[in-house]
Amino acid sequence: MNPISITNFFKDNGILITLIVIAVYVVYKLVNILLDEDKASSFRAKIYKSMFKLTGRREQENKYIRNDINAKLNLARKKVNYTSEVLPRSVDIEWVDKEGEDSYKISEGEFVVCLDSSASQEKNIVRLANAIVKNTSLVGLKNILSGNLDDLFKINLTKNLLTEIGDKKVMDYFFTEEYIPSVKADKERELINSKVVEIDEKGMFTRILLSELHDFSQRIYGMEPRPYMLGEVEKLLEFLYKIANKEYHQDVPLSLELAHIRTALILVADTSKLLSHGIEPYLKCAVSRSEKQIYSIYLIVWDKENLGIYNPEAANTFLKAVDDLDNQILQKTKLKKAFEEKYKIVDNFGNKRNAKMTKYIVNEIDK
Amino acid sequence: MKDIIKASRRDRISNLIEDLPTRLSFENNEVLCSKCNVKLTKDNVGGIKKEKGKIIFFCDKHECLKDC
Repeated sequence: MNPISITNFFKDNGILITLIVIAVYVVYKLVNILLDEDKASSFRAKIYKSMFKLTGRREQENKYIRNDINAKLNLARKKVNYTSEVLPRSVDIEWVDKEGEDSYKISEGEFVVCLDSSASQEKNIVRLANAIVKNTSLVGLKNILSGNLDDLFKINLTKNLLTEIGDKKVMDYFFTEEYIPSVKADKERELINSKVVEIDEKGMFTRILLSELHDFSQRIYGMEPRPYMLGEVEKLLEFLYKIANKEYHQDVPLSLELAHIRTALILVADTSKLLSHGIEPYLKCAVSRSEKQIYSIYLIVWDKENLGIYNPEAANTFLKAVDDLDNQILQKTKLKKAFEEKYKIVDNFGNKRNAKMTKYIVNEIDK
Repeated sequence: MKDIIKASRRDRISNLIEDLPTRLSFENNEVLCSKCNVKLTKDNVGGIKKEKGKIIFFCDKHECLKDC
């Protein structure tokens, strides 16, 4: 078929081809939605919301509330799900009151949470996110963390989860009714929270702090809770805060070696340093740290956001060097990769940076 | 694995709160949060639980899904 006949074919059958393309796209989108349980919930929520608006029936409203909460919380959870263990579990709402029945049966030990109408859906989402985080995260540290640390870690994890939902009404309600009253309850809480927030803003809260706390809870499993264990958590918070808050070229400790929390960071924050010195200094550091009794090493790379625009060659060399560093770490140490994640941060000078974090863990049998 | 959350609409639980004191002669006709003893109204009730055959109530600050 020559180009002219192809052009003529498209001219003659333009509408038909457009319809086929649209149909294929719609089918593709529907299959995508149906294959993902949470996206399907989101789709159903939109349908039930429209049906409720048309009919005003409470049954449709209940289905909208249920599907909307399931979809929003579970999809948000997936977005931060680079290490599933530290995050709260996904949820499914089940209504106990059936339409047209005067009462409902509650089984022994069953808890029924009270939800508001769809007009206050942001309140429903915040209350459930709070309750789920409180009950299903930081498991194993209940008898070690003090009230303030436990509360503040959890409320900031809830904040992370709700941020991913991307609903301004939900965030407004959360900040006004939950976050601000909780973190500003007294001076001590305010001080601890400012450190958690600083760590979170540098992308190290869920990725390092909570991840280390999860590993810590595994290591102390079955041991009697002792005051020094809380001390280890406090030292981890201080250690990360100093790194998050460090000034340009300021030296701060990059490893923490305690009884149960033994971790190190390799920070590639200065693009020009890697470009001029190569990967050797960073690799040496990773090798020497891995030979000590360290359980985990985090490689954090902060790339200049616009380097690729004003100096594409340097940006390319930088990215290749980072990949090479990653490969060399895996080859020259006994470390294995636990997770790798790309995200964005704003550094202490207000510059936007592309960040990449890789967590390497030591096979504890080798220790 | 998903956490199943049993839920009820606020007005249904509120009806229970308004109805129970008169039916079961609660002290001072009040239903209190079993955690902090705050008086429960339709606006601050957070949830209910059945324990040893009785229904107990929680305010919205002390609602919890499993550990109450």
